[in-house]
Amino acid sequence: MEPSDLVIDTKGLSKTYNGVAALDSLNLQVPKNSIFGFLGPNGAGKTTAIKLLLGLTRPTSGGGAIFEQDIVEDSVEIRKRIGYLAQDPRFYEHMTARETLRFKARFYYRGPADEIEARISETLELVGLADKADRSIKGFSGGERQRLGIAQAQINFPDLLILDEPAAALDPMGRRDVLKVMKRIQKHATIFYSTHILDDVQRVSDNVAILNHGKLVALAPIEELLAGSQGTIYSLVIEGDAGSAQERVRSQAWVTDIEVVTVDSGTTWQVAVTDDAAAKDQLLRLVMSDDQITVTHFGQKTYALEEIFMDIVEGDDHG
Amino acid sequence: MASASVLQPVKESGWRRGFANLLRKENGEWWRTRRWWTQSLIWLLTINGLLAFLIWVLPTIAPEEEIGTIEILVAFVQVMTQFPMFAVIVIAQGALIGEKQSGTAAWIMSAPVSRSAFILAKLVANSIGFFVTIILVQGLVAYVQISLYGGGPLPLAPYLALLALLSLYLFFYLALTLMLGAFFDTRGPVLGIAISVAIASMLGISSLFASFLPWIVLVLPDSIPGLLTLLVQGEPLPDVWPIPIILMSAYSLLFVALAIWRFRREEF
Repeated sequence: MEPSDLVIDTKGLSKTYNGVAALDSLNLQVPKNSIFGFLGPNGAGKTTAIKLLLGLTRPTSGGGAIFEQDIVEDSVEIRKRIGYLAQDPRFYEHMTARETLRFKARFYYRGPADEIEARISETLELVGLADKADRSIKGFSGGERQRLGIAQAQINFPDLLILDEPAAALDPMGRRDVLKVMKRIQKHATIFYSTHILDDVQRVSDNVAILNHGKLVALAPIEELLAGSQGTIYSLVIEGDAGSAQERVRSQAWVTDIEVVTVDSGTTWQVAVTDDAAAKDQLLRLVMSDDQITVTHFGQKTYALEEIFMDIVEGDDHG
Repeated sequence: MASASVLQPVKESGWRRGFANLLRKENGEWWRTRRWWTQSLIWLLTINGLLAFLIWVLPTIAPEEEIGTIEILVAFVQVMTQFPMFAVIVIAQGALIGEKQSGTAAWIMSAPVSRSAFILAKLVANSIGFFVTIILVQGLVAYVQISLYGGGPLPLAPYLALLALLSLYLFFYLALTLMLGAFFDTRGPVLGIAISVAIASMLGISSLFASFLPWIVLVLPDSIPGLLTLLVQGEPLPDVWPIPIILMSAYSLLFVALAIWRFRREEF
């Protein structure tokens, strides 16, 4: 991938606090216009990485670029094009939601005033805070603060939106709304977000990185990650005596393994293949040529992100 | 629907980036809240209330006590150099620490804002706020009261010089407190150090060492109240009178520079 196709590109980005590595040599590439899920258990270093990207802390070693600009030297320039939602967003309590957005907008725009006000109103509408726009933030619930956080993060039409746990304080309806907003923004911007909610990542992300103990342990497009690390696997559920069919399938050059599990209602096969096209074309035909058996399910095995995440993180912990 | 193309981007760059917006917000905390009138009222009651007592009430209850204009001016200097700096310290100590602790400083710094602008906006807005509510309002009311008592207007130039030196004295404490706020993360050390300096100055700490370290009266902040007293008494100023003024100005600028230096290294 060309550097110009990347929004975030870090090389050996590291941060140490009192001799303890919070982030260890992070090499991260985030493609333009992606929704990039940044995953990891608590304390994995996600927030540290985000703060380094924003210039809120300085790297101990290594570095990185956003929009091909240095994250340390050009931080103010970079921040002109970024929207950021902190994990626990904090605002001036005496301000209203509208005043907060006006204050934030004036870091980017000096006028015209009516256009700025229009932008504020539409952003409040977008996050469902229009009816609370002129109420003091002091009385806002956690969910309302989170919505305001999302609103202020996009007030400047950012090219890159960095969201640290954007749905953590939201109820299921709020989460759904946030995912909708993210999908909508993706047309114009890249979204880089950390989360614990793996379902959301699987629903909206196109690229994923997994961090554990400050180290990057996985970085891939989500389809690639969900396909698993064991190659392509086809799953079949068969009724009847499948002994001869199994021998026929196993003799194919493109079949590397068959895992068989027999239960009362039938037999489940997990067939590992090296040639996906051959498998699609021939596998079901080879099994069905035996008229003594019935195939009740056939398909390529997919993994849930949670399964992949747990495998990677636990594997890393034990390794 | 608003569009980015019709919005005019902010032009500020370098250390000024974000300054105008931050200054507007900081000024708002003085002038769009009750802070301006509560500060004005507190100091009106304490500073000008004391002068009013000396000028208008004391002669009626103790007619034998003859108080001249100079004694009133000395009392004005004493009260102005002994109490308002505590208000400056108490208000300014929360300016940085409060934002660091609440997380709003980190929020602001995630926007395109220079760290110098963050410190300077607080310095400028608080300087204006304290100058107006303590120096200007109280100075004006005191001027009217003392002039009425003296039977004619006080000479303006020395009175303005007096107010200028009082401003410098308060600015010193503002800069000191902001600098301490940049170095520490909790209020305790900021308040402790700044109030200790203020109390030492109020008690005239340099006079304790003056017999064996004569130069110390020139380099400590309590040199300013001493100069002011001489000024209002019409006494000749020592030949070295510019030194305390230059040093107090230099300390204040050094504190501001250190506050910016430290805040630029702050990690959120």
